[in-house]
Amino acid sequence: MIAPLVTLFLVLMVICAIAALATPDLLAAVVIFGAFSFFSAIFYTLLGALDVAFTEAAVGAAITTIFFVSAIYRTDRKVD
Amino acid sequence: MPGFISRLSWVPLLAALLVLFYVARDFPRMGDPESPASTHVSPRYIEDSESKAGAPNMVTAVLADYRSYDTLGETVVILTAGLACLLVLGSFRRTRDEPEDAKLMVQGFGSDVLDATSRLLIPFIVLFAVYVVVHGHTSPGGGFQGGAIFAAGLMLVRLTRGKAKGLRLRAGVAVIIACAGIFIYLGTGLLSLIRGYQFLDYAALPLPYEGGHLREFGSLTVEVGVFIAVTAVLMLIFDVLTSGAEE
Repeated sequence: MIAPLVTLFLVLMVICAIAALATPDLLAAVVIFGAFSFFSAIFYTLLGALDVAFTEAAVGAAITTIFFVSAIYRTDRKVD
Repeated sequence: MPGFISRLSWVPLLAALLVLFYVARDFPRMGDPESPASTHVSPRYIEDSESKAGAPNMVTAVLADYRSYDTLGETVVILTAGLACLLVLGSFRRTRDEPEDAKLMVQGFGSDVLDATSRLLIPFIVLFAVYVVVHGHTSPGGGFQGGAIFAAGLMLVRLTRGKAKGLRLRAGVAVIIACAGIFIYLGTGLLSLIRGYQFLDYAALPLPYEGGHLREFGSLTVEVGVFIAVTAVLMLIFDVLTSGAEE
């Protein structure tokens, strides 16, 4: 019952990873990367690793996103 | 997708993927009861962690009690990461060609909507962070997650109202607070060492509890140390990223 869901979220993670690489706008890439973190947090929850999912949601989705955004604000938003 | 990855860089990526898939065949199947980890390691933790370490959440029992020494090293790694950020980014000064928007990260984005929403949210975020640390023995969570959530709450203050209105924390002070957190961790270990037990053996703590209950309090002390260190380091990295080491 859980296998199709796991596959779904793995596919979503791959899509997010490729989209984050492909967008020329770095801010959009960071937001997509946050979505990637959320999908992986749900993925860990499905596998029963609640603590890992919690850490991924707190650090991957919140803290790294803030750090990336603050780094972008000090540099350039577009990829040359 | 023109030129986002040059053509040649696909070769090492494909090679790495091939190696990865080849190696992954040797892994035991997910949830295989015959795998070495499930036959020798897991049953001991599953059976003993609640009675011996006093924590129904086995992950916390392993992190803060059975493998406490590793967690100490991990916390020191986090402090090192913060210090590296301070050393590399702290020397940057504002330049004239820096984008106009960069000032917003320091002065805050504050509009009325953001201000009202953050006023509602921040107390709950901070309270939830403390809950995650204190309740980490029975539910998912612990010092690291709690510290990250607490730091996220503080960053929300900075982002909406600016650095001046937020909790002002000079880089040196943040480092000292982070070191204090690690010292709480290390002090717990040294205390048991002084009292004739092994390093980080919580059975040695001079508290009026026994057995698993005492160990639960020992790992709570350690988690508080991790919480303080992680919060201080994350705030340090955020401050250094947004405004450098200047005050």
